[in-house]
Amino acid sequence: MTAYRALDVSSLPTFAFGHRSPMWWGLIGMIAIESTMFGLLIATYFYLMWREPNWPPGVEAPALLWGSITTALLLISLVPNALAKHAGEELDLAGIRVWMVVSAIVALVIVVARDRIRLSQRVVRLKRLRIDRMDVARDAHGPPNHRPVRHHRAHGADVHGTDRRKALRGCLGERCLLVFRRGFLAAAVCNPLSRPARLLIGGARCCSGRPCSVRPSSG
Amino acid sequence: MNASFAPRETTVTDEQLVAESRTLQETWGSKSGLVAWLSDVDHKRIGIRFIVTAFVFFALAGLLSVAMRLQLARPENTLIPPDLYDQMFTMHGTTMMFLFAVPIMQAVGIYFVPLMVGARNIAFPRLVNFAYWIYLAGGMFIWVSFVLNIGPDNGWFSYTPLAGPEFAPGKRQDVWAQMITFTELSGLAVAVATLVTIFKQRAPGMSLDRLPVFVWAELVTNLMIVFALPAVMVASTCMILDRLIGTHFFNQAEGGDHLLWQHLFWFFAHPEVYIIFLPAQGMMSMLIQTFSRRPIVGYTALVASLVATAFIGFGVWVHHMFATGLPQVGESFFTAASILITIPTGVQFFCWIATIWSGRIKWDTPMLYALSFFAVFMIGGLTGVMLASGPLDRQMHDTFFVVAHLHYVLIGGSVFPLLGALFYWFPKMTGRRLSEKLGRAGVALLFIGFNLTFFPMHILGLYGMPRRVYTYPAGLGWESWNLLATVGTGTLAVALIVHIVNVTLALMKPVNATANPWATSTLEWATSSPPPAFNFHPVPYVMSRDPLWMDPPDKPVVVGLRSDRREILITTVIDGNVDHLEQSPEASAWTFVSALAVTALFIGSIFTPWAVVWFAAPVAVAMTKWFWPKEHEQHHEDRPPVPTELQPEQPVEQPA
Repeated sequence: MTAYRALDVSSLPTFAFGHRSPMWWGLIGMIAIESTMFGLLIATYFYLMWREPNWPPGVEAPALLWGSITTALLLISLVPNALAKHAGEELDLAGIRVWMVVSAIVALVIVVARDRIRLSQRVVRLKRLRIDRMDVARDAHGPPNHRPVRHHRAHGADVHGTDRRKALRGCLGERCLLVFRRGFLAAAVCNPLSRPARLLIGGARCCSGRPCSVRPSSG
Repeated sequence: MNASFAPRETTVTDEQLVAESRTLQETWGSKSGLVAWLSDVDHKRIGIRFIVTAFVFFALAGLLSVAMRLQLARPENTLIPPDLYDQMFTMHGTTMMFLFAVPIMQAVGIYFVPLMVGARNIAFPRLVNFAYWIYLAGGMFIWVSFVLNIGPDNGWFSYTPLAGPEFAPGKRQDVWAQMITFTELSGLAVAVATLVTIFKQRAPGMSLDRLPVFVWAELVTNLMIVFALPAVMVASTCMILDRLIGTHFFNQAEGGDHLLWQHLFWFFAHPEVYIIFLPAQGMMSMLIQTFSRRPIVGYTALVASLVATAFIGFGVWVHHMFATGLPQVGESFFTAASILITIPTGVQFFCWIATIWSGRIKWDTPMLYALSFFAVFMIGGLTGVMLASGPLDRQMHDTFFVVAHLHYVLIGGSVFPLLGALFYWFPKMTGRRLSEKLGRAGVALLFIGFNLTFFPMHILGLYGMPRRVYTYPAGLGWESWNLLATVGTGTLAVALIVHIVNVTLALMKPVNATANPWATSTLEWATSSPPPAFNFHPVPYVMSRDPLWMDPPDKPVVVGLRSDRREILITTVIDGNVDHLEQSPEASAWTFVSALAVTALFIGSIFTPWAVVWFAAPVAVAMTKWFWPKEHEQHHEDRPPVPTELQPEQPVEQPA
């Protein structure tokens, strides 16, 4: 019979909170993945904005109201989540159940509010569609299911150009709010950075089709 | 600090351990039957499935390359029509990159990381099982499509506008883009599971600076996966949206940008090269250490090089885009960054050379693979430095020179070490040893065949032969080089047949390998070959970087994990001190059902956006069932919960 020296770990606890738990690390992994995706989408947005300041072109941005409400709700949703976490750490099973359900309900409300943003945008599109339809009617070549704005561009019609001039003439306050809606922080941080970044990754060409290192100021 | 929660020193006898092993086998062993097979959570069995599946895809893509080489063997050949040829080179590249190279590097990690860190199972084993089925579904989806003549045909990087709705009507490109979603979902899931295993499930005493270099390589690689794969998911999603619901992310006429696709794609695909290459470097370190019979030289430098390569690897993607008319400043910056990456690679080379130089070499087959790597990868690396230079790249772009370079880097840098490592680990996985004679013949044929195939492509590229042409006219001086490359491909095919024969013959023999047939140093060799379902009993305790070489023979073992439940030991991230015990989940068939539901959602969504809505319900139901806690998983009755402030992070006392 051989006997070994041994460390007996049977008295260790069977769970732990926070960074001690593997589940926490798994969630950090998921958050890292999702953040990378959102980061890349935001980068994509700025990349396209440099080609087309008002992207997608010809569609006005949704109104500020529902976007602001969604942001507020997102911040509020921190509360039931924090309470659920607290209940967990207190080993209060009933509390966890209550606050998990509340968190889920808040999440559903956010989905509805976010959908309102999209709906408010659709109204703008419908308004425009009427003008577009006239354009499409004049031009029989285009495939019917393409977004009509394409034709303005293709035929040099000035609906889009007029919009842009309107937007440029728009009052300063409105312009600032637009920037705010698109993520004030991101804009503030990325704009100074974007000039060197443009120099480095360049790539987009001017409307003239020639390569250019820095896009002419877009107004 | 409450002393009652610290590990207690005790003794344990052989009889006790043997008795516990029987219970452990019942607790951890996979059940028989189809449902149990579909829902397996043993990382070794899933790992082998991943490896075998990846090699099947490797063989299929290899067959395509043989067909393409036959078509190019002589000018004006009519063996393969141009449309099929387009599909074939796209399928070859896509399969090799997305269905072979990345998955197999992760698969080897699924099998060996838990063993090398002394864990009883991988973290989140159900997720890993789910990832396997998703990977298999994605691979089958694109291959079945190819057989039905809807295989993608725009090259493995699917540049827009060629791959956009205007120039690629039909479903071919959608199949490609959705296959990306499958494989990246699978890859990300495996990455998180592997990372958490490395961070939290190491054997006590295995601090980060005692991790084997291969585990370091897997750690760095999986971190890269977490930050690189989302880029291609975003890109392929935008492409699908462009193609199916009329967004214009990549439509120049509507405020989109073609180069955006290239930026997003290469932001993923250049790191991907390192995702394939870094685990192979980890394998090289294991092989060189074992077959030079001494600990690796410059452990810290090697690990630092891995990390540095990963960081720089994210900053060089634009060197794939030099021919797109980038600003001069950008071109210079990315040229410099690309050349910078040779420094950490060079450091690793010198560490390996120093290890070989100061060791006593055993000339076994795995070492021959490792030495072949030096020769082949050196050539690939040097042509890489050439291509990283903007002006030269303009000359070489889209020629066979690039084809030669990338095969030297990927086959030389990854497939040689991979085959060597699998030869080395084969006894551990199967309990049987491969034949040395056939192994040597395999290496020799592979080395000769590889160079015969790909070296002429350098010359063809310099002579101006463009890549991805289905044929070429006579009289350009390309005929003999092309014929030589085709002969080389035949040799390569023979080499791979020799490998298959070797594996088949070995599998027909009875299990006869000892626990540590190569007399090496890392923990996976501390358990039997093949390992039992629970990997280790008792759980090892680690006191040095090379536990089987350096640890004192009377070091303690770890006992006290329950054998009637799947209890695993959780340790601290940096120091590997014992922290607490958790339960590894049981098998659940709902992982497989979830994979089926997700597959239906992904495939359906390329036909109608509503599929996302319809199939969201089955996905939600299956995943809810998957995560539903089982009654017997909630027992803490015999171990009362401990308030947080009482739980110690107590270091294990180093035995004197």
